[in-house]
Amino acid sequence: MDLKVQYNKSRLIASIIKLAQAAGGISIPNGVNPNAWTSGDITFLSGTPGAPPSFIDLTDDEISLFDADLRKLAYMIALERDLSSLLLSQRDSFLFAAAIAKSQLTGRAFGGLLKGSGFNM
Amino acid sequence: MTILSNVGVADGGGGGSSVLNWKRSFNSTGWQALFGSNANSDPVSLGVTGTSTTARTTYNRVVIAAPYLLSTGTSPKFVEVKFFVQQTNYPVYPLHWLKLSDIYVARLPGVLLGLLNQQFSIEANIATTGDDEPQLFGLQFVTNDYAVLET
Repeated sequence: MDLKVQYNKSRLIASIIKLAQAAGGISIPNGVNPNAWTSGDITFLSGTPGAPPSFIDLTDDEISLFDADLRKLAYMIALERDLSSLLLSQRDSFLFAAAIAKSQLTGRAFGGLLKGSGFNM
Repeated sequence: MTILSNVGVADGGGGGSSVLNWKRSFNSTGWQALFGSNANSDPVSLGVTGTSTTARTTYNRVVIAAPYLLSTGTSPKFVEVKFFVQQTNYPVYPLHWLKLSDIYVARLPGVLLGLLNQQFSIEANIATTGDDEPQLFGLQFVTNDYAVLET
């Protein structure tokens, strides 16, 4: 587990969580197929059988940062070329995991690889 | 990889010391601890506290998501794995190793999700003795105060 994505507390104040809601009030994570969990397309070994852990959507800005960082990690020259596609193919899984992590790491915003102190353009 | 430092050496960890590589030597065949051991009550814990803040003190700092196992040794030495996540005992899963250019990769039956302060272990059925370098491959979501720790 050499790859780290960090959460930056300092960005918390500026973060605005936008939740889309399905019927019944179920929150839909941005960019993730909400049916994936029940369809079995994405399966987690989380020790919480039958129900996903709570999650907080990443904001649009956080998702942009997430995707940029995932590409960055996938194409690191130190990685074997074939691993790039393996990482990118799990994008939705990782994004959902990031939303779960955001919920679990209370009071945090997604800061990306540079813990929000970098600059993306 | 620092999360393995909390696991005993016999169970694939560092026994309290940093684990700086993935190298393992399997001296016998059969089911053994790969990353932590449920049988020995020695899981990988993401809820470790301590009197000082080090990379070992994972409490409230680490969530992991790993959909793959890699083997960067000469060849994989194990053919099956079994996951224990919190109180859930998952079925034995046969690994289908895919040989890439110079490593092997196996996709797990799901994304191993190590939630905040929870624990997991992976045991493996060793088919051939010898050295191997099994690795969890995925992302680790950590707090920024944890990410900057050097020890």
